[in-house]
Amino acid sequence: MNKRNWDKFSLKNFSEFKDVDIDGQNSAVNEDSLFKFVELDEFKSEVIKVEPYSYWKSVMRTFIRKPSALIAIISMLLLLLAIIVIPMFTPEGFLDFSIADKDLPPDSVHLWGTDLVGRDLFFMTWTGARKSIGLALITSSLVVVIGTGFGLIWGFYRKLDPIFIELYNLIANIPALLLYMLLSYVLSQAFPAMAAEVRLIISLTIASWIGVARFIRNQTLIITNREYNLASKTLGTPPARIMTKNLLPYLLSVIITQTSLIIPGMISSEVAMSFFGVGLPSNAISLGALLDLGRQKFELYPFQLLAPAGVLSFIIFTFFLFGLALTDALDPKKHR
Amino acid sequence: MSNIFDIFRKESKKSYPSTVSTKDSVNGRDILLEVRDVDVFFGAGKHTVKACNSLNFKIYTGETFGLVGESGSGKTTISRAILGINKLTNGAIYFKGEKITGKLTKKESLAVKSKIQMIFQDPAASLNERANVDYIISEGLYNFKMYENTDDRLHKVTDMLHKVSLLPEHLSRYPHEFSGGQRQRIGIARALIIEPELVLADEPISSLDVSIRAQVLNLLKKLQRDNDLTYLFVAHDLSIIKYISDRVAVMNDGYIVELGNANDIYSNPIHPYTKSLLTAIPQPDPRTKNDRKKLVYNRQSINYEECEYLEVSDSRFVLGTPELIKQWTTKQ
Repeated sequence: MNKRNWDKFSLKNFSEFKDVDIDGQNSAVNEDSLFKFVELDEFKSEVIKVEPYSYWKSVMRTFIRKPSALIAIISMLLLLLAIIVIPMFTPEGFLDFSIADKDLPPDSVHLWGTDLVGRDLFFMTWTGARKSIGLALITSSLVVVIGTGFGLIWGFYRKLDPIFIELYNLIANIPALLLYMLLSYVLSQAFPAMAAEVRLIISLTIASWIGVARFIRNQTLIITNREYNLASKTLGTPPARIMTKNLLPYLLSVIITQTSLIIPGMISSEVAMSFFGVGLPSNAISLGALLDLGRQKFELYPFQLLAPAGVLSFIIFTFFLFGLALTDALDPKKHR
Repeated sequence: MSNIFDIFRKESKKSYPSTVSTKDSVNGRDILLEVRDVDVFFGAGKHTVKACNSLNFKIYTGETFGLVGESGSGKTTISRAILGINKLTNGAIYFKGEKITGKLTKKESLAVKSKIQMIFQDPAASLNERANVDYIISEGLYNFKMYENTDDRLHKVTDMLHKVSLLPEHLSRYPHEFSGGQRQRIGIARALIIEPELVLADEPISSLDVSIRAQVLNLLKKLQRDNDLTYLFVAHDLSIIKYISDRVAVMNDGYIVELGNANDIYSNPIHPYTKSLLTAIPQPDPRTKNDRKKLVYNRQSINYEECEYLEVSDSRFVLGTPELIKQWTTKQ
């Protein structure tokens, strides 16, 4: 490289170094002028320059960066839009029985055709989807809140273990569907005035909370013997605050993940119960009831089953995808 | 088969008074903590692990009591037994003359907790990652209601932060944003803000970088001077124990093998285990290093169960039999 080009970068050309001799040819070198005495400030060295870390901010950043999360967000938004907007624009009489219009194939008036009692399938399906998702959200949140509460207590107080394990064996060893049916039947006999929706929520909650509780109990056991909990105990922190301040924040990510996976499960449970006739009555508009109706004439009019089944698949797919993407984003190890 | 008859051989459990005198009858010093015949066993039957065997020591008010020994010698077990985390199999522990082991009411155990605090070994594991520094340091204040209002609490917390050379702006930060030394200082602040009288330091510097060990040690010394603290300092590093302790107990295999003033033990070790530990200290001078003779301790040569504590000189105890001690003191 040309030597002249380097000359302009030489230190001699910078004003601060004018009196400094680089090559050692000039005699007057003042070494003291090169260095400046800096006082040691103990507190200055403690300053953290990095911006404060925020867990939720980095969750958002990681979540948005994932392509599968993007698909999940878009389909989730579409789904929410569909179940909120479409039922609002239902034309008059489209959800009523009309024998004249029964079993129509899809056309420009009835987009997805009509069912065997003449109701419009497009609006029926989306109205049903709204009901199913609503019920699933309510049930899931109930299950998660109850399950988390009992799970924390179960994991924290080891003495309660035998009681909870027996309870778990009792509930978990009966096939879920059988238990739903049994509870639903018992509730309908005991409280005939109870709405079918409430009955459904109660029986699903009773049958499912212990699974969540056991999951949270296992997670609690993993972290409860960590040293920071020991430190809290030596400080005399009461159990309630250890649970809410030490354990719950650590479990929050797994709880959210668990919730997003429980929701689709609850949707299919509701559909299954309605399908078998122990959930919502078949004249109620829900996905399960629609599937039950569509099944009856499946060979002649397959679209009556395919429409609600397709929407159900789309809903469950969306929630699962959302849950899986969220699981990755909530894991702090994947934040960098 | 011999194990079956052990239960008949075992002495009936001694009972311990609920209060003892806080003045040492020999030298008249104030006893802050007294450990009497403490056994801590884990497991049962064949798989019993005897972590601590008939430990006896006293910690005087205002001193630093060093506990040194190799990994698995029961140092941490006894310090956790003092906190009530590990249950005693036998014996009793007294704090200011009051028995703090066995059945305690909630109020009593809380009162003990407010006076005995612990500094943990690993600052990364012992701080709640999901809580900010403000909560971590205030935790004890919340538990013992040691503040009048939020301003008072914040004032106390920032004051404490200043004492451990941290800044008030750190309050909203989370533990993982700090360096190891800073984290350990947060741990120290958390333990000291409730103004305990006895601080159990469980290897507080062994997980720290060598360059900041001195910083934390000097901080501990400074805090001891300012707040009249008593330390039980657990470590496996002899040079650190020598630097910080007034009296030292050397532990091996669940037994205290030698106990005495730090200077005495370092200048004139008696028990062969202590001797072998002292020869293992790294020496920075290459000339003396080459002369050093490393002693290897043969654990099998001594049966601790047959030994007892013998006072060889003023307040200097060695675990052994009279013959053994004679052998150790004469053979040089």
